[in-house]
This record gives sequence, structure tokens and C-alpha cells, in this order.
Amino acid sequence: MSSDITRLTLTGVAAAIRRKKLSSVEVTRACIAEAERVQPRINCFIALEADEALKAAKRADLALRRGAKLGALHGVPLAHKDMYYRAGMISSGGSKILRDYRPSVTATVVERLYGAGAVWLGRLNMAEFAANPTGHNEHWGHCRNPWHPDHITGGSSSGSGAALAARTCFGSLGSDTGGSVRGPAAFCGVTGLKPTYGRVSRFGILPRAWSLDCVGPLARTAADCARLLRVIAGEDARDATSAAEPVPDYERDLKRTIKGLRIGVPTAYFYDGATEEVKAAMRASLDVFRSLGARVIEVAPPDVQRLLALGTLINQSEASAIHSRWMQTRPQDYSAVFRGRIEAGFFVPATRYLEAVMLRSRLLDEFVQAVFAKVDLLHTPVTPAPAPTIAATDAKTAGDVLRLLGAITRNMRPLSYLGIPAASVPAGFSKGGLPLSMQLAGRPFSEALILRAAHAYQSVTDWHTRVPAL
Amino acid sequence: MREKLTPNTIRGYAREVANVSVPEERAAEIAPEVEALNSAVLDTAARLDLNDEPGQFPLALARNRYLRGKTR
Repeated sequence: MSSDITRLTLTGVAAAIRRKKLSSVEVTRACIAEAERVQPRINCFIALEADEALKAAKRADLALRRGAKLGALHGVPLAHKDMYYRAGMISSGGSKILRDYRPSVTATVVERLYGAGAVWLGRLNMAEFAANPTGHNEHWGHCRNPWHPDHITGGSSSGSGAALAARTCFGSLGSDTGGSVRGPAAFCGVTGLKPTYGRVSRFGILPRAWSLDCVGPLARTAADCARLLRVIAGEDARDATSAAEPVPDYERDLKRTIKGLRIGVPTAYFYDGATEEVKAAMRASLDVFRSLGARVIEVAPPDVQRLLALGTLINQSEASAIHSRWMQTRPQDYSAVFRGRIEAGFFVPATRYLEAVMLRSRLLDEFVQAVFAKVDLLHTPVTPAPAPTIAATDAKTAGDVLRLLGAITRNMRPLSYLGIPAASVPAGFSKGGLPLSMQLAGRPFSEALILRAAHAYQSVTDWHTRVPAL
Repeated sequence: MREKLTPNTIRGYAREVANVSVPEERAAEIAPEVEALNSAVLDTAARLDLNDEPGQFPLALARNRYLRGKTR
């Protein structure tokens, strides 16, 4: 049955293809069948490219039969947020303005994934220009949560979260400027990682805010994310902000113990407004870490509210610069929500913007000293509540945006300003059957440690294996 | 003493500098938002040094990787 195949993990299906237990064509057909079945209910794809995917799968099977050298993702179907460029192919950015945009370059991360043998399954739904944390999209239709289609997926990588939870693909690239990987991963009950700023090349992706944009993987397990990150991470001469740090073998590191790991619980900010069931899920997840030999320690993070404001200022200033031309010439082609997410940036003086950028180094130093001198990882809820309904978060005017949407990203955006890595890991369900997730954050370039802790947690829990009934 | 940012200032700046259209009602929403963002920077910027510059952030990321001389 196709659902038996699509319930495998990315690393599991890659191993099955490599051992010739399954063919890439069988796996790709199973994904296409699931995608066609769930699309009318959750609208996670902008374009399912079934014919091209099957051709690529046939080539993968042929290469395997011929004994070719195989990449880490050989024959595995992936689908991505519709903002990863392929030269000559449409990349809409979830927008009306770029509905027919065909970039002239291919993203470095796309080259790396498909160089490792992955099969491109299609382009996924996303928030307009990656600027909405809910999954609403008035141009391409709202993306809906597979656990409850009346609820939001989170955004802006809405299709990535929904497509993975619905078992239509095995991994996905999202992008995270202020929570756009972690939010959808949290609300859809999958695993997502925002790497350190600069860890993964941004060349050939739609920009949202250059100083904050991070390409990150979403998958169903931490081990799957480790595989994807290993493939996409590393310096790129075409992205001046990519880091020259060596790329560890993230999968090998998963096997190490977390005994003695110090996990920090914040004494302020991150639990403000959290529901009782979110708090209970977080306590239970900390008990799991204790049972694995970790130590749980309280830490006082310095003025997180300020980090949130400074990150928002950079985000809005850069976005308003990116969209300045079209905001002047075709404002009617943007949604009111998008305008509400960036408009304030037009009125921030360049002086304040540059100060906010310069303060990052000092505030990062301060945060690391206050938090990561005492603990190895910071543990928080990703969001203070499970996914709200689409109706409750349907911002009709630009002014609705702050009022309705600010709470969703408040625990994620401060960490984006600091540029540090953070993962969203499934950690329970609400009484209404919606996923609850924890955020694990670490020092710069500590992705291996974050993934190891998440993997250890997933080795003794089953939240990440649950499948929505669609 | 900082003065309150008014919707009129926003509308004037929109017309005269930014070259974007902002209705009066929307300017009233933007003004407090911009004021809050600017204030957050102003209240923190005193900590900046003459020799700070925007391009230092990647170095800060790199040096904070090696807290206490090793990674776990």
C-alpha cells in the first residue's frame, strides 16, 4: 500500500531504495498518490510535478541498477516551499506578482539536494513572499492543517509543514526569517531546524530579509533533518554571508549520549501567555530529558522583548527595501496582510536600522554569556498555544496583523535576531488533537547538539510518528 | 524628551520621502508601531562603541561557537 511506503522516514526510505527493497519509482508513485488524495483538503502544493518526478525516479532506479555512485538522498522524493530557484522554472514566492517568474539561476541548496540524488516532487504552498506566520494565502488559497483542516498550518513554510505531516514527501526546505520553519513544523507536528545564520547558503532563494534569512530543513524526524542539513550546509562562494565553518557529520553525532547535557528552562518571557496544556507538555518533555540523563537548570535570558523589537525592525526595514519598487508601482497586487508585515519599515530611519544591526554582536555576546555559559541548550515552547483556526487569524486589514499574529512568533523571532540555531520538535498533542512542540536552541553552529538532543528525545517518544487522519 | 510620532508625520514622510501611499487610518496604526521599534533601538544604542560596525556579526557568531574553549 502506498501509505505504508509514505509512512517511512527519509533515512528509512533512502536505505530501502539503496538496498533495492523499494524502487524510487514505487516511492515516488506513492508520494504522488498521497499528494493527489490530500491536496483537495489541505492545499499544500502549488504545483505537483508528477511527470517530471517519475522521470527523475526512473533515472535514479537506472543509476542504481548500473552500480553508479549514490548520493545520500538517492531516489528520495522531496518538495519545497515555492521560493527555491531553478533556472528557467517558475518560482512564485506564493505571490501574485511573481506568479510567472522564471529566475535565471538555480539555488545552491537545490543543486546540492539534487546532486545527492533527490527527486523533485513539486512546489509547495507558502505565505506571500514568506511574510505571514499563519499559512493564509489569498493568491494561491490557504494551506490547511492536516490535523484539523479548519486550523492554520503556521507559516511562512506552510506547505512544507502540511505536506510532511500528510506524508506526501520525505523532506522539505523551508526558510526561517522569524520562525517560518519552526512555526509550521510546530503546528503540523513535524521536526524543523533553523540553522545558524550563514550555515546554509541563501544563493538563489527569494529574499525576505537578508540579515535574518536562514534556509532550514523540515522532516519527520531529527535524524532526517540531520541527513538534509549535511547535504545543504557549508560555505558557498555565491553567498557572501555563508560561513566558512566545517560541516560536521550530523548523523554520526546522533549516536552520542546526552547524559550530563544541561538543558536550560527560561525564568522569563518564553512562557508568557502559554496555555496550561502547553506548559504540561513542556514539563513532560523535560521529564523525558531527565530520564535520559540530562540536567534541567533554570536560566534568566536577558531582555528578550528588546531582541524581539530589534529583530522586527531589521526584518521590516529590509523587507520594505526589497519590495519598495512594487510597493510604489503595484501596491494593489500585495495582500493587506503582507503590507501590514512590512510597511513600518518605510518609516524607520537608516540610522536606527544600522544601530539595530550593529547591536546584534553585543546582544549575542550578552545572551550567550547569560544563557549558554550555564546550559548547553535552551528549552522553550515554540508557540504559547496550539494552532488557532483559520477564521480566528484571518487578518483582513494591515492593522489586524500585529493584533492577531504577534503571539505566534514571539518565542522564535528573538532567536532569529541573535542568529542562533533552533529546532522545533513534536512534544505532545492538545485535547483538540493539535500538535504541541518544544523549541531547542543552542550556541552558534551547535546544530549537531540540537539534533542529537532531539533524536534522543524521539528515540523514547512517539509524538513524531503519529499520522493525521485525512 | 522624545515627542510622539504622529500619523501626520507618517503620511508626510510617505508622500515626501518614501513615495508610498498610506491612508490616514493606516498611518494611525503605523505611527505607534514605528515609535515602539525606534524606541527599542534608541534605548539600547548607547551601548554601541565608536568602532562597532554592521559587518561584525559573522565574527560574533564564530567566536560564540567556542564558549569555554570547546563545543559539547
